[in-house]
Amino acid sequence: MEKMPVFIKVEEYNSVLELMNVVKKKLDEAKSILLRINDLKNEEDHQLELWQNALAEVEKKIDFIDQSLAEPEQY
Amino acid sequence: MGWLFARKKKVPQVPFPEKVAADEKALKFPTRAASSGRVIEPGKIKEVAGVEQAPVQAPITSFPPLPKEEKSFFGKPHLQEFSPGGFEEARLPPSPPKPQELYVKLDVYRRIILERDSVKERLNNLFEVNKVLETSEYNEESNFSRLKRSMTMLHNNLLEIDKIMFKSQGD
Repeated sequence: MEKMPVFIKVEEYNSVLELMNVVKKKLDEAKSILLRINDLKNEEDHQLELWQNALAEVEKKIDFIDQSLAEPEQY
Repeated sequence: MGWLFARKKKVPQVPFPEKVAADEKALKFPTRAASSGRVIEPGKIKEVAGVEQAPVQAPITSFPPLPKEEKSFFGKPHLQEFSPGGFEEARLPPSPPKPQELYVKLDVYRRIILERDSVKERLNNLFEVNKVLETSEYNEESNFSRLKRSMTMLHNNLLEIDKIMFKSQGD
């Protein structure tokens, strides 16, 4: 005897389809939010880089002032 | 002037048109005799078509169609709806609308269950990642506050140095 296919009955098929549509919409929403978060993170990284550069510049100037105050004869 | 009116001009006699019947040119349906070569009488259709007798209806021996097997899992219409009634149901009067049912093959159903479990596991992982991110954001916020505080202190110290260094020059 041939192997007969066995089927499972799924009731309220329309409800399942509607729920699947809701799930797909939520997935799209999550994807767009993740993109927005990624943009914000990139912007944050850029601002942190600016901070780092500014701090390095301030450090140099402080060092210069410190050295010029500590050893004024060299300047 | 007499010669002018003395002679009467002869007008040629034009015959009057014959009286035509008023409905001669009226629209008429063609008579049977005029188009008998083209018109096929309803009773002669079978003869013209070459069919002598009416076709005998074949007994219904075929079974109702089974749902088609689909390969893709996330494709658009991947499963056909199964109507167990088949031909017999088509002859019955329309019944009240039943809730929609779907028949899924057993292996597809198993795969759906597996995928659902996998999605649930992934979602649990994402909740854990959310917790980590919340902690990280908290740490970031606190570190940012510390950075702001230290910058304010640095600025105040610089102002103090400025005041000390240039106070003597001003005085």
